[in-house]
Amino acid sequence: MLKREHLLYRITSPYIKPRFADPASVPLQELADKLICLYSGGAENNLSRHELSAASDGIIRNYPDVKVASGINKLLLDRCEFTAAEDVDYPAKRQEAFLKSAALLSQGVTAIDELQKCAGGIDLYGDLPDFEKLSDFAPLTTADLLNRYNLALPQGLLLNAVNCHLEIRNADNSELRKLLKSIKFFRLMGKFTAVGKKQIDIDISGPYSIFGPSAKYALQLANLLPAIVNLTDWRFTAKIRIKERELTLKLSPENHLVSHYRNLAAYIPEEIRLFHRVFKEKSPKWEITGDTPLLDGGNQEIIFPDLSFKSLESGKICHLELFHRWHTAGLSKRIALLAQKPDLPLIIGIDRALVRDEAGFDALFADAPQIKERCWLFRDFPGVTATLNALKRFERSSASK
Amino acid sequence: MTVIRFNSGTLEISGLPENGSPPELSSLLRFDERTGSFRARACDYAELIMGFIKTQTPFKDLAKDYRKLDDLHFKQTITPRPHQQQALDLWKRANYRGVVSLPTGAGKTILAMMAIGELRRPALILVPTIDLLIQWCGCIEKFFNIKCGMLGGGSRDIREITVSTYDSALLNIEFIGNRFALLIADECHHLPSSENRLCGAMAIAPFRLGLSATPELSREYTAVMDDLLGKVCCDIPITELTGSVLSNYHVRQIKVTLSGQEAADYRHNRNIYTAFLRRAAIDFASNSAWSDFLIACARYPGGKEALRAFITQRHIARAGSAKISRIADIITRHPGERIIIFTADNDAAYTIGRQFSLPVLTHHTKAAERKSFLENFRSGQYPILVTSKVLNEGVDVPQASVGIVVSGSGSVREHVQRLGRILRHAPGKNQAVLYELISAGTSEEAISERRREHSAYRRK
Repeated sequence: MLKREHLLYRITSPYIKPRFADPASVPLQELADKLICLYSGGAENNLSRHELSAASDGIIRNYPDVKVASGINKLLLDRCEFTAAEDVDYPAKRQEAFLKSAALLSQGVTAIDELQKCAGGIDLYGDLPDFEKLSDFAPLTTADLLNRYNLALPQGLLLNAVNCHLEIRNADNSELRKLLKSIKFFRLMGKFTAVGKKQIDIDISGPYSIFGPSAKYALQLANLLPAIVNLTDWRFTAKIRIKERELTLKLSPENHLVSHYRNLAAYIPEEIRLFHRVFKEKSPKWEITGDTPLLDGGNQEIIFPDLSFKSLESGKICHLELFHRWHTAGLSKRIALLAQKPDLPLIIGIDRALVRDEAGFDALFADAPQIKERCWLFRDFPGVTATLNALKRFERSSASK
Repeated sequence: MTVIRFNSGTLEISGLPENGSPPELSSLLRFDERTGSFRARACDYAELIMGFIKTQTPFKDLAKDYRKLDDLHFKQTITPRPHQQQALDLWKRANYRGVVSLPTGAGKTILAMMAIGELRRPALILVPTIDLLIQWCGCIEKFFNIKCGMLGGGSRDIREITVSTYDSALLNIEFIGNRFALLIADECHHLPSSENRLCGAMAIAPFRLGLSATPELSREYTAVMDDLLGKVCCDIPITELTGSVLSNYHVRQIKVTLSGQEAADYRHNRNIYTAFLRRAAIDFASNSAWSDFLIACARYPGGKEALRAFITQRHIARAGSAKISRIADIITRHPGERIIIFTADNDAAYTIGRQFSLPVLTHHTKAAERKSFLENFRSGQYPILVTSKVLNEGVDVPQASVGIVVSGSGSVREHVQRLGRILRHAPGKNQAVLYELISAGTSEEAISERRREHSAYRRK
């Protein structure tokens, strides 16, 4: 992420416009190339922070726009890993030196020349960050770096964002699902408004934002931007507070921003692959459907099931939502929602980490005992047998209605 | 039935019709169209619950996730000093919500232990630095039969009594804000900043105690502190405890003269810097002056030279050779005493550390060494400690009797806190002395005037 001093923008009140770099500019590409080479080579040769800084300073100063060059350099620094300096046990050397200097001081010696000798000829503070060595650098192409820079400019402005508004047009379900998952992942909230059949407007902010402007969620909003950029047709507006002024940032596909968030749709984790295989073997009555839709829970509550199943006999669809250890907040709310809307075709798997014991599990259903049969406990990832049992109970209860 | 839940640092209230909330509670509740339910600030939890009870609105409280600690007891008896008992009584009288202003060394931590022992409920203690985090945890485990949780400095161990840095609390409060009944904000003048205030706002704790030696704040920040912690309920000035609870002290200002070459370099660089300020029309009376200056340096011709000149003249004024030799004189004058040397920046601290072979404590110092530096200083193995800002607040080093302020900001708070480091009583300590080194004829003279505007300095 860029720091404030790296941000380039123009203010034409009430708007604030990032000054994007031209990724096709040859001098800019040369600058990016040189810096990438510096850091790649620096990692191979274990250069120190200080050496890297001196070398990158030379490159940055020779570029006509120092701020652009410093910003690009910052993004590369973020991709570096540093390890402690030389093979010297500095804490031990320091302790030795301090004890010697303490002994001299106790004899009334305060001459700098004498006290300095206690260090034994080494720099006592030779392990400060400046002396750390570059041990690893995550490489990237010149084009990726320049795209990353252009995206980092509005992201940096969003660190001062108070709220933002997103218009999504012509989005299909899978695009929408990915975005909503990101909103949820970054613990943001949205007020959704359908505008006609093809547009959804979302006001995005955090739970506390209702009590007044707060920059608390600014980092989360900044992190959401690459997910927004991945949409096909979108318009994004944010209120940015800079120097006591509230300015408007507007972005759209016309800015040609490129997301660095990888499309993870193609990646299937091993446990899910295994679940699919065993489920197919063990279940003659149910199949896993390829498409898992979003469920409308009402009152702006959207449910993102993890898997969907179809009964081969009745054609009934049932969805499975998993609550892992990092989902504590939503669980009791979901149980309450199911109690209110028992027709939602949903079963729930709960990570054992969320309940202390069986009594804790039972306590979850104190107000809605009828929901208990829709839920079960799992460790890390649910087993197929337990899932099939839950599906069986779901089918039985829906048949009895 | 109305149900109250803790949700991401707020209270979500479901079951109330959109236009049917009791009028008495309307100032606390906002209807949230995003969820179709009411929402309240977590910090208004106690008031909200009282409001539901008063208005006889049936409700179910799913927000609170703590219970009384019946097994908690003192391992070591505390015999409070009169001023500590007075502070506790005043805080209780203020319904267990309020700020206690006591000078450094007057035993604020002990007061907090008394408050925890009185309430026997889970407590979250906010502190500004990792050193204080370690110190508070040690204190909790010394006085109570309980293991203390730590949040910050690489640790994420949340327990019934947990100490957290403000920074770590800010990251975690939306998840843990419902697990504590008592919120203690140490050095609570840090709480009202635009970010830190959420640590108070997103916690439901009905009982709140703010502790500070210097709670004076701007009007806006005072209002935030009153809202989140309660008003100042006890204020005992430094002069009231000096000579009894606190050591007697002297403050000596020493003006040092820059050497001929340094004085010339200072003037030369100062002229470049001030000429640039005039050209760029930067007014240092404005709040954004510093960032305006940096932006101007990047934008205008001569900016880089101006920035370099600014840094050079500041370095000469803060850590010129005359100051270094004066430090040696002062050390000679206090044989066998424990001395803390304060600087305004890390560079100056490390320069002094290298020249005298002395331990330097900054935010770069790793936890293990930090601990060993402080222990060795307390035991007397290391008689001198150099620090930039990390020892400014709270850290308990009662053995220190001499402070040398080599350089500092114009902040009254920083200066009072630095004085506070040497005021604690310790066996064999009769008198504390704070030296302030000022480079004559430099901008430091005006900075020093600004930071000395406190009764603690006007007294001597």
